[in-house]
Amino acid sequence: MTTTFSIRLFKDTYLDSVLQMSGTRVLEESDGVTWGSSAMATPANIETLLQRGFGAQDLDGAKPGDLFIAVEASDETAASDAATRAEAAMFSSRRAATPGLDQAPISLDQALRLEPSANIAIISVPGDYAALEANKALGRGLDVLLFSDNVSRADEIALKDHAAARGRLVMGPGAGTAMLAGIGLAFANVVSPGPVGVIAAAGTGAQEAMALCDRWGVGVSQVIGLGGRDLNEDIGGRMAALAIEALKADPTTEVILFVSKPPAPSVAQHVMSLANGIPMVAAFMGVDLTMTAPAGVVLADTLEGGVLRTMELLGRGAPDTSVTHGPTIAEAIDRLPAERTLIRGLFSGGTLCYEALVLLGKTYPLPVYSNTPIDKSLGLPAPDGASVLLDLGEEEYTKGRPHPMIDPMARIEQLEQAAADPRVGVILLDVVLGYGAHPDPAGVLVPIIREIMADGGPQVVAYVLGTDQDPQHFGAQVAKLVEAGCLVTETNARAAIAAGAIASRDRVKRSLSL
Amino acid sequence: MSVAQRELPTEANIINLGLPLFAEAVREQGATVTHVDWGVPSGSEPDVVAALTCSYGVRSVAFDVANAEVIARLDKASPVLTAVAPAGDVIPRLGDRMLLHAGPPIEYESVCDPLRRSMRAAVVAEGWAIDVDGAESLLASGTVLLGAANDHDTVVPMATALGPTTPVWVAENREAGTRGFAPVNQGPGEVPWFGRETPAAVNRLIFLRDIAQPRLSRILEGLAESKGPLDIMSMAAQGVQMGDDVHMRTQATTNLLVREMLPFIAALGDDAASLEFADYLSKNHLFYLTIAMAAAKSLTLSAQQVPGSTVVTSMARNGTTFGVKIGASPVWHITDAPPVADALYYAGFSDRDAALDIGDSAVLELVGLGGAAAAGSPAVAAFLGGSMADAARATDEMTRVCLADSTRFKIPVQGFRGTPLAVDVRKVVETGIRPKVTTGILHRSSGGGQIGAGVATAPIEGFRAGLFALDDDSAGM
Repeated sequence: MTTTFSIRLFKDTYLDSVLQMSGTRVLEESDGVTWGSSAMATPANIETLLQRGFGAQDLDGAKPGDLFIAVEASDETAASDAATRAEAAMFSSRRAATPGLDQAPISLDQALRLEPSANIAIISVPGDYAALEANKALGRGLDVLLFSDNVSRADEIALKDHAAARGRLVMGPGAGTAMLAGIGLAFANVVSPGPVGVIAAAGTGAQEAMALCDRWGVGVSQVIGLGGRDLNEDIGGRMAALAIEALKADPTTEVILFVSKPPAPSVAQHVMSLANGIPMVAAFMGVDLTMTAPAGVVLADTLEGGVLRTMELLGRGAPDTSVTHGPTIAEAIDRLPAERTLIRGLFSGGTLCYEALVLLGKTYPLPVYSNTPIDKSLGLPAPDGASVLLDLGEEEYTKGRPHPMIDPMARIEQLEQAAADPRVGVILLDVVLGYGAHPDPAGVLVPIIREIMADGGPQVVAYVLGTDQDPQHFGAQVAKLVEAGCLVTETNARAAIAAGAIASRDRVKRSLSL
Repeated sequence: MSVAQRELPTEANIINLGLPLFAEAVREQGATVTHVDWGVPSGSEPDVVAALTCSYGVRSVAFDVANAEVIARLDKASPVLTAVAPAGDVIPRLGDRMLLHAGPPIEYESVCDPLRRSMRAAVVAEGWAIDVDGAESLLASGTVLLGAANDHDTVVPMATALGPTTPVWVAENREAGTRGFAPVNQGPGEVPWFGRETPAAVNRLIFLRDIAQPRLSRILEGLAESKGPLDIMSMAAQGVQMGDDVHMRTQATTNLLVREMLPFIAALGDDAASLEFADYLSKNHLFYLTIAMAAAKSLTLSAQQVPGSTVVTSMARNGTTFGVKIGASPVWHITDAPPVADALYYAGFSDRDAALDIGDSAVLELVGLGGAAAAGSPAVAAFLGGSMADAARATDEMTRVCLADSTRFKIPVQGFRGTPLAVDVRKVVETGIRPKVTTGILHRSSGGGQIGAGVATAPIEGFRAGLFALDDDSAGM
C-alpha cells in the first residue's frame, strides 16, 4: 500500500494548543489516515515531518508562526478529506467564539456590535471590575448573571437599583446558577420545561430545587439567582422583588419556589408579601414553620420540603423520597466497627452543606461543627472527637486550587484525611452534576471511595444532584457510586438523615416527613 | 419604583465576560454566545473604577437620554455657510483689541513661541503696531486682550491668532440656533498659522482681509442666489466618499467647493487682485478645513445646549495646555499639551525642534470627521503607518470611544458604515483610548514654521477630570 503525504500550511496563523490538538484528533479519527498532526511549524515539528517523509518543498519557508495540517493517508482523497475536516474543526470553534472578526471582542460593546440582539450577560470578571461591567450590561438592556463576588454592599445596592430602573435583572453578585429562556447559566442542570419558577439566593440551592423538580416529573420555567446577600437586611431583597415581579409576569410560570437560608425576618415578610397573586412556596431552610406567612404562601424548612409543597400546590402525586440505592442504613451500620461514630461531611455545594447541618441538627443527637456553622458556637476548630461538615467551596479551601464542583480531585485529600481518623464512621458527600460541573465526578471519586471503605473503613453516604438530561447522566453517576459501595439517597436532605442514623446506630427506618 | 416593563427573554443570546467555561456551557446547550476576551480597564485605579461604576449606574438612565439628544444634534443638523465677514462684526464678545487663539485660555507670558509670533503678526496686520517689536510690547504689556476662541463660538487651526478684522466663515446651525466661526484658511507657505511673523506672513493676513474677503463674499452671495447657502456637512460627506478625512486631507471637498464656486470666481474678472486671489485658491488644498471646523463648532455648540450628557463637546490645545469640556459644562479640564508623537519631520529637524501640540481642529474628531473617518482615506493611511489597516485601526479606536455611527459620513471601503460619532468621556477613561489628532508640527523657537507632521494623543488626565466632574455635577443636581 502506498502512502500519500499531504500538508496544508496557514501562514501567520496561531491557534490555541487545545484547538491544535482537536485538529490532530480529527485527523487520527479519519478514514484512511495512518498518521496526522496539526501544530505550529516550529523547527522541531518540521524536523519530525521531514523524518516521516513529508516533502521539503511543501515546508519551504514555513516559520514558527505558521500553522500546518500534515496527513499520511492511503490516498489523496482520504488525505484531503481528513485535512478539510481538521481545518473545519479547528477554525469553526475559532469563528464560533468570534463571529465575523479576526480577533475576539475585547469589550461588551464590541460584542454587542457583533450580536446586537444579545440579551443576557454572564459576568465572572474580578470583583473590583464586576459592578462596572454589570452596570454597562444593564445599561445596554441585558439581564445579568453576576457570578463574581467581592463586590461591595454599596455597589450591590446600586446595581440592583439600576436594574430596577431599567426593568432588568441583576442576578448576583455571587450567583452561581440561573436558567432563562430554557438555557442554564453558569452551574445549572438540564431540566424539562414546566410550571415552576425557581428563585434562589444561592447556587446549589437553585440546582437542588430544579433537579428535584425535574426528577419528580414537574418541569421548571425559569431559575433566577439572587446572590447570597440579597435577603440580608441592608440589601433588603431588592433582587428578590425584581425576580418575583418577573415571574409573576412570565406566562410559563404557575408557581414560585423560593429557596434560601432564613432571611432577616422583616425581609422574609416583605418578600413573601410580594407574591400576592401567584402561589409561592417559601423554602427557608431551618426556619420555624410556625412563622406567620401571608395567604397564598406555603412555608417549608428544607429544599426537599420546598419541592414537595410545590408539587402539592400543583396537584401532583408525592414521590417516595426515602428510596435509597446501595446498602440499607442497617447494612451500613453492620459494616462499621464500633469505634467509628463520627460524621465527616465533605461538600462542594454551600447550600447543600447548610441543609445537611439543618437536618442533622434535627435528627442527630450530638453537635455538628462546620466552617459555615448555623449556630456560630459550632464553628471551627471543632473539639476533638466531634462531627464536622465542611463546605469545601468556601474561599479557605479554594485558594490556589479549583472549586470541588469543577474538579472533584480537590476533595481527595480531605477524603483521605477523614478516612485516616479511626473514629470517623460516615463520610457524607454531594456529587453535583450539570453544566459547569466536572464531566464525570463519580468516576473520579470512585477509586478513592473503594480504597477508604475497604477493611472496616468508614461508610460513604452520597447524594447525586442532577438529572438524566445532564451531560453526566444522573443514573450513570448513581450507579458508579453504588457499585463502589456507597449508600445513595434521593435527596440531599435524606443523605444527611441517613448519615446521622448510621453514625448514631439508629436502625429504626427514618420516616421523617419533610 | 420600576419604570420599565420587566419581561424575561424568550430566547437566550448571551455575552460572556470572564470564565470561558461558562461560554462553553451555554454553547453546548445550543444558545448563541459571544465570549469577550475581557481585560482590566485602562483606568484601573480604584477612584477611577469607582467613578466609572457610578457613571454607568442608575445615573446612566438620565445620561442615556441626554446622550441620545446630543447624538441626534451632532448627526442630523445641517449647518449652512451663510457668510464670510470680519470677525469683529460677527463673533460674540470680541473686543476691539482682542485676539482669539486655539485651546484653553492662556496668559501671554505662557504662550508658546509659534503662537507669539502669530499673535505679533496679527497685531501688525490689525494696525495696532507698526512692526513685530512694537507688537511684542503691546502683547507683553497686556494691552491686547487674549481669548480662547472656543469660548467665543469660534475655532481656529494651529497657531492662528484671530483679530477683529480677520475674515471668518459663519456656519449657521438653524436647527439649534447656533453659529460657529472659523477664520478663512491662510493657506500654505510663509503664514502666521504655522508660527511665522515675516513681512510675507503679515502680508498674507492683509491679503485675506483686503482681497480675499470681499471676493469670497461676492462668491458666497452668488452661490446663495443660485443654489441657496452651502450645506457644509453634506459636501463634507461627499468628500469622505472621495477619500477625505476632512481634517488632514480636504482635497476632494475643497475641489467640490471650488467647482461650485467657479462661475462666480470667473465673474470676478482678471484684475491683478482677482488673479492673486485665484492663485491663493488654487494652492490651498486645506481651503475647506476651516469651513468644516466652523460647521463642527456649530454642532458642538448645539450639543452644549443639552444638560447632563457625557459627550466631549470641546477638545483643544494652545501649544502650552490641552483642555476638554464635557456636556453642557463651561468648565475647561486642563492638562499640559502633549508632544506630537509618531512624527515625520522635514530633513534636518527632529523632536528636539518641535513645539507642543496646538490648534482647535480636533473639533472635527468630535463630529465624525478626522480620525473618525481615517479608515476611508488612503492619504491619511499613508501617514498613519502606510496601510489601510492602519487607517482602519484609527477609526476602530474611535469607534470604541464613541456612542453612535454617523448617518451622513460613510466609509465606502468599510461597507459604507458610518463614521463614529459622539465621544463619550466614560469610554475614553475606561479604554484609555484618546481621540487621536493628526496635525502639523511647528518649530518651537525659530519662527521657521512647519517642520513636520504627526499624531497627537491627548493626555488622559483631562478626560479623567471630566469624568470626576460628572460626579460633582450630579451632586449639585
